[in-house]
Amino acid sequence: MAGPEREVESYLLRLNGRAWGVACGLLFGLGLFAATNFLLIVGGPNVGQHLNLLSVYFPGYAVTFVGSLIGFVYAFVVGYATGRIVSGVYNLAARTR
Amino acid sequence: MQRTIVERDLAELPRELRLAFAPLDKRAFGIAVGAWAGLAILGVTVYHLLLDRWLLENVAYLANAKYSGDTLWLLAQYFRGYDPTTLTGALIGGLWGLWTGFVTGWFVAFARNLVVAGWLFAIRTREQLAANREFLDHI
Repeated sequence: MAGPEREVESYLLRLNGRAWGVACGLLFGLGLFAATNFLLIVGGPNVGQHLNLLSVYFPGYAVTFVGSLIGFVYAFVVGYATGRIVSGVYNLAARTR
Repeated sequence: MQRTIVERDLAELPRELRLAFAPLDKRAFGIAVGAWAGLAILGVTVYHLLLDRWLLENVAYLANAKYSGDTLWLLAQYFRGYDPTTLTGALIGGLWGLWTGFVTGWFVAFARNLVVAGWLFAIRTREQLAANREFLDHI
C-alpha cells in the first residue's frame, strides 16, 4: 500500500481517546445513576441488596439518591479510564498491524 | 491488494463521511477490550487481596463475610482455575479476562462493521434505484 494511502488508513483506524473516555464515562455513570434510582422508585423490603456491594469499591456509595450522585462520579471516572484504555490499546494495536 | 466492497464504497465517499463509515479493526478492538477486561479482573482481585482486612472492618455490607472478595468466587464458575484469594488465581483470572474480552471485542467490532456495511449497501442500492426510476419512460 502506498505511503499516503497507508497514512489515511491509519488515521481512519484511530479512535479519539477523549471522546471514548467521555462516552464510556457517561454510559457507566448514567447507568449506575439510573439503576440506583430505579431500585429506589420500585422500593421493597431490602432495597439494593446487591447494588450496595459496590460500596466495597466506591466508598460513600449507597442505594440512596445522594449515593446515586456519588456513584455517578465514581462510575464516570471508571468509565473514562475504560474508554481511554480501550482507545489507547486499540490505536496501538491497529498501528502495529 | 484486492479491495473489499466496503473499501470500494468508502473510496467513493467524501473524506468526512469516510471517517464515519470506516470499519473497526477487529483484532485491535479485541486486544483493546481484552486488555481492559484482563486488567479489571486482575485489579479487582488484587484490590481485595491487599485491602481485605480494612474492607472487612470498614464496609458495613461485609459484616458477616469471611473474605471481602467472597462474591468474586462466582467468576470461578466460568473461569477454571480462578481463585480470588491468591495472586496466582488473580493472574489466571486476568488471562481469562484477556481471552473473554478479546472474543467480546472482536465480535462487537465484527457486528458493528456488518451493520455499517449493510447500511452502506442499503443507501447505495436505494440511490441506484432512485437514479433508474424513470428508466421505463425512455423506452
